[in-house]
Formats: sequence, C-alpha cells, structure tokens
Amino acid sequence: MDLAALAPAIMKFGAFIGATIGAGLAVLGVGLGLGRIGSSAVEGISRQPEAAGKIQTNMLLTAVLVEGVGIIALVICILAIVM
Amino acid sequence: MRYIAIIVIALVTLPVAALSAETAEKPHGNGEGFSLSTALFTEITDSFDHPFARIPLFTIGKSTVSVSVTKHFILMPLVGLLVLATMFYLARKLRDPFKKPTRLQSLFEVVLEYLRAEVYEPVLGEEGRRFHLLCFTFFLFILYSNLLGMIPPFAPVKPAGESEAVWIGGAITGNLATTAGLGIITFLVFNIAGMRAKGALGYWRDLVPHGTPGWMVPFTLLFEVVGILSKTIALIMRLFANMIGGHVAIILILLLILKFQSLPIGPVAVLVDLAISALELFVAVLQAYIFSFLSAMFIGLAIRKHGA
Repeated sequence: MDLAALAPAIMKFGAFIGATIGAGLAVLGVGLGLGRIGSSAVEGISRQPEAAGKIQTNMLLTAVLVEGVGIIALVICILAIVM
Repeated sequence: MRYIAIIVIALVTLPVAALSAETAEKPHGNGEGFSLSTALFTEITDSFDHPFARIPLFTIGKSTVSVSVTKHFILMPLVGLLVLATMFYLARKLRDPFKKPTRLQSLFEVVLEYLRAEVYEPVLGEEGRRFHLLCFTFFLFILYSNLLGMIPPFAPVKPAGESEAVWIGGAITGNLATTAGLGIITFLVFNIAGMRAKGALGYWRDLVPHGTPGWMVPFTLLFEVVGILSKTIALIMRLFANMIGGHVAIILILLLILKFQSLPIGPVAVLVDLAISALELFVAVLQAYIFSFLSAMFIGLAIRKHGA
C-alpha cells in the first residue's frame, strides 16, 4: 500500500465527496429560503389580495437573489469536481 | 402572438437537436475514451487555446503580448452593435411621436417605460436621473448576450492555422471576465457617484450610521467596506453562475446519453433538456433584469443622503 501512489486517487475521492455534500447542503439552504419566501408571499396575498401584483414582484426578486447564492455554491462544487 | 410562440419553441428545441448532433461529432480526448470535462469546457469557455487570430501588441523581453481574437472577442462587439441598433431604432421612432407605433417599437417602449417608472425611478430618485441610461444599457446588453447564448452551436468553425475546431456556443456572459467587467463598471460608478454627491470623505463617513458609539465606528466601517466589495462580487458571480449553470446542465444531460450508451435514455434526456432550456430562457431575461435593478439600487443607495 503505497500512500504516495494513492495520493491522486485520494484527492479525487475527497473532491467528489466534498463537492456532492457541498451541493446537497447548498440546495438544502436554498430550498429552505425559497420555501419561506413563498409562504410569506402567499400569506401576504391572502391578507390583502389587492397587493398581489406588488407582492409577487417582490417575491420573484428575493427568490432570484437567494437562488443566486445557491448557484454560486453549485459552481464552486462543479469547479471542485472538474479540477 | 403565434410568431412569438414559434420563436420560443424553436429556441428551446433547437439547442437540444443541435447539441445531439454536436456530441456525435465532438473530438475525442486522446484516444482513451470520451472525456466529459473536455467536451464541456470546449463548449462553454472561450477558445483561448485556439484563437481565430492573434494581434500582437508589444513585446516584453522574449514574450509577445498579443490580443487573441477568440469567439467571445467577436461576439461581444456584435452584442454591442445590437444594443446600439435598438437604441437608434427607438430614437428614430421618436421623431414622429404621433405616428402609430409599430409592434417592435411598442415592445421596447413598454419594457423601457416599466423599467423607468417602476424599477429605476423609485430607487434612484430625482438626483439619479442620469443613471437611468446606464442601467438600461446594462439590461439590454445582458439580455442580448444571454439570449444569443441560447442559440445552439450548429457546426464547428476551424480557425486558420489551428488544429482543433471551435464550437461557437455559450453566452459571453458565461465568461467571468465579461461579468467582472460589468461588475467593475457598477462598482466604479456607484463609488464615484457617491463621492461626487457627498464629498470625497463624506461618502466614507456616511457609511457609518449617525448614532453609533465611537468605539464601534472602525468595525462598522470595516463591515461596510467589506459589504461593498461583497455586493460587487455577488453581482458578478450571480450572473456568471446563472449562465454557466444552465449551459452545464443542458450539456451534461445530453452527454449522459453517450456515457450510458443505452437507447431508452435518449428521449428522456431530450425531454428533460427541453424543460431545462425553457427555464434557461426565463432565467436569461430575469438575470438581465436583476443585474440592472441591483446596479440601480447600489447607485441609489450611494447617492441618497440619509436622514433626509
């Protein structure tokens, strides 16, 4: 068992594990965030249906921002696998 | 209305069809099999290793610094020309304001009016009127480059004197350099506008709210400066990651067909790619809107005098 010869394989293994777990955690965070945004938006619309348009616009805006953070994490995970 | 539907359906189905043809002809890695990562990279990134031309600029010592004319280098002025053409067209239509507006003109005017009244005006305010045009230029530039990136690469183009062919695919905003350029423009504009509005030192002093105790001022200032940098970096990375992520997802699902080499995967992968391409069209427009809105918001925050 030559540890030096196994090193690139260990690195690749570590990269895969780290990237997949990282992507899963990122998606967990994004899912929670988007769920809360959706729920508070729907609750706001149910309280005041006239403001539905504004609430929907703000909801979409905030959702894109939260999604952006998740996608940044995704790109880092892809980078970890590819390199 | 049905023309729009036809165009949307074409834009969504053609990438899938063309990418299927493309993966069949893609050059193999080095003979020992098909490498997913090289196929992915040649599709998405700029073709630095196989440029169309090299224009030498100057020589330092033994190496020559030259500008490589790559596919993004050619696509970016094209997008700029499209933005210019749009604005010239709209300006020319202004010459006769009483004529019935054409459909293309009303499309752009509706978008422009909505952005001006609902998005830029509330955040920029009265003193920020001169930044409306910058934000709208951001919007049009990013919109056109994202939509041009959805056009699939139909055939490889072989640059003269290079060994490998280049697939002209992917958006120019999928290049970190492009989005970094746009983000740096926003960073410079909102800092310099803030310094011009409040005085060179007053801008940095105003970052700290009025009533913080003296010992907290350095920490608050540090956090605000880091916040400025991180807002800019998030702006850059959000656009880049959204564009890259979409194309990566589409290509990876198609390359799965080659990886598994089984027949039932084919239609499933193509259908899934159809759905992802439709989502990508929506994301393209939305990211342009988000970038321009956030730029306007940062500029508005910088020039707005607090406590007024």
